[in-house]
Order: sequence, then structure tokens, then C-alpha cells
Amino acid sequence: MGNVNIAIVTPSTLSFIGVKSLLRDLSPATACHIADAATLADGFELYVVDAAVCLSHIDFFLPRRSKTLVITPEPLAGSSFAFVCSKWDVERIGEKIVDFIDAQRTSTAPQSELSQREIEVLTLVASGKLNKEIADALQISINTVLTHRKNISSKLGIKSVSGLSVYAMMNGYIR
Amino acid sequence: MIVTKDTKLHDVVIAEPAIIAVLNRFGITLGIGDNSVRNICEERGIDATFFVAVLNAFINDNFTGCEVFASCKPLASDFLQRTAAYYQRFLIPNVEQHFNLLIRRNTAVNSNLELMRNFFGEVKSDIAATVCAEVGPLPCSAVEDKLSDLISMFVIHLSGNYDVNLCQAVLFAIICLKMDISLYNRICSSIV
Repeated sequence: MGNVNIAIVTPSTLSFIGVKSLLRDLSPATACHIADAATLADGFELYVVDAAVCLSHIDFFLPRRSKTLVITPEPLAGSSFAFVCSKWDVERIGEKIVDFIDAQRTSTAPQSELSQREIEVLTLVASGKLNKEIADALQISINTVLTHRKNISSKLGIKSVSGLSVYAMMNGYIR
Repeated sequence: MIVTKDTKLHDVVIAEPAIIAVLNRFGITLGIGDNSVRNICEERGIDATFFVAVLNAFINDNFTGCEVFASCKPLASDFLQRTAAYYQRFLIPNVEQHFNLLIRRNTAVNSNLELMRNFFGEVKSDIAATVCAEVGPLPCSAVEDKLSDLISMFVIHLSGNYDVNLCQAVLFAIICLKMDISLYNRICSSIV
């Protein structure tokens, strides 16, 4: 595992110190503490986030699901998020983090990953909105909506509205 | 590959195995021997010009000889009817059986596979409403698009746990159906 730029998003300084210490033992990682989730930003390869913060900022983390690891007090049954349970022993948590980062790096997802705006458009398309309604909702022109839709289909290899809806469900963008 | 009346039919099958399903609709099954297309058509009373056009339209996305279908309209209509029946009897159940087995055999829950199977259910309904409609053959580009989407879901976006071999079997069954629907649409567009 090479140097990884990681955001540890938790209001607890103690949790931050614990995760940072664990990461230091695993690999050379640059860990940044984000105590106030209101200052969340892009640019990190991995987000290790407290479960409560993840839930309260789900709009931010859902589109970044592939690079978010949630710290939970109990195992998350049926969740689309990867997680580490705070009750696990150090070895198990360490293994899970290493596996998660390795899986993320070997994945081809970044090439086809949608931008935040494209995810917003996809979500509205999948919810059955028409181009005009999407343009109004996002305060953009219909041409811009069409451009986003074209780019989404090109990135995903999925053209039909029902296909895009299935993709959105598979990725937790809609329920 | 461009098929002519002098091409050996087994060479066509080896180059594009998915074409076996098309041959079935002409009453040709495996064990075709070392015969040319011309000989096989003569033996079985098949119109060789139409047959060659069907094979080429199946194999080549850019096949330009579709005017043959317009000039053999009764043959083409009959072929499309047999094709619709073939989808309902064989190709769609083939995808469904593999899909069901894949989901049954999965040791871990993979909700993505369930979603994809439901999506195939929608495709099946679309096929019933267009290809198999009693009003006559209708082109169904939407079905072709949805099958392409389903293929992309398997090839690009599939995640979680699944039986690799069964998953590939489902994918190949869908690819065969998609190729067949493309042929159907090409012929249909030429005669409607």
C-alpha cells in the first residue's frame, strides 16, 4: 500500500488519534482530521467517517461511497457502505482498511465515476423527471441537461431510462 | 466475415457460434457436415439468397444488403414469426433459467443481481409487446438498447459476491439474445 491521502471525519479527537495511529502502522498515509463535517471537501482518496456523521451528511458520502469507510459501533447489515466495527480487534480493523484501499485501487471505477452534477442529473432522470423538470430543479439549461445525460450514458454504457434507474438503485442513489 | 453461397456453413458457425440459434429456425441443427451454404440450402429447400442475407445481417453490424429482405417479404415475414416464437420458447427462458439459478446458488445476498433480473423482466415484457405482438412484426430498438444496458451492467458495473461461471452463462445468454434482436430489427426495418 503506497502513500494515501485520507480524511478522518469525526468530531472525536480521540477517534482521530486512534485511526491515525492505526494507519501509521499499516502504511505511510497522510491523515487529515476533519472535526467539523461542514468543511468536508473533495480531494481525498479515502474518507474514514464516523457513522453518525456519515448519516447526517449522506448527500456528501453517498456519491463517494466507493471511497468511504464507515466506523460503526455495530456491523452494518445490508448497507451499501463499507465499514469497520469499533468493537473489532486491531488486526481485523487493519486488514479491512488495507483490503478496502487495495480494492479501490484495483477498481476501474474512477475512469467511469460520475461527477457530483452528473449524479444529481442521474438521480432526477431515474426518478422519472423530464429534461425540463431537471433543468428547472437544478437551474441549468435543457441543453446542459442533455449534455449531462449524454456524458452519463457514455460513462456508464447505459442509455435507457429504466437502465439508468436500475444503475441508480444498484449504487444507492435512489431507493 | 462475409458469407457467400460457397462458404462452408461450419466455418460460419465456428466464427460466430451464436448463429446456431438462427440456423435452428431454418431447421438446421449441429452436425452440419462439411457442406457449403449452397448445398445445404438445396438439400433443405431453403432460399439461398435469403439465407445468406440473414447470416450476413447477423454477423455484420454494417451489413448493407438488407434490400434482399424487402424483395423476399413473405420469406422475411415468415422468418420473423418463427423468430418471435423462438424467443418465447428458447432464448428468453434460457436467460431466465440461468438468472434464476445464479440467484439461487448465490451464498451471499447480492441485491444487484435481483435488480438486474427484474430489469430483464421488463425487457421480456417489452419483447412480448413488440416482437411477439399479434399485430405483426414491429421494430424494437428500445429492447436492443435495454439489452445493451444489461450487458453493460454485467461487464462494467457488477459488484458483490456471485457465482462467476453462472454469471458468465447469464451474460452469454443475454449477448446471444441481443445479437438476435439486432438481426430481428434489421430485417423488420427493411420490410415494414
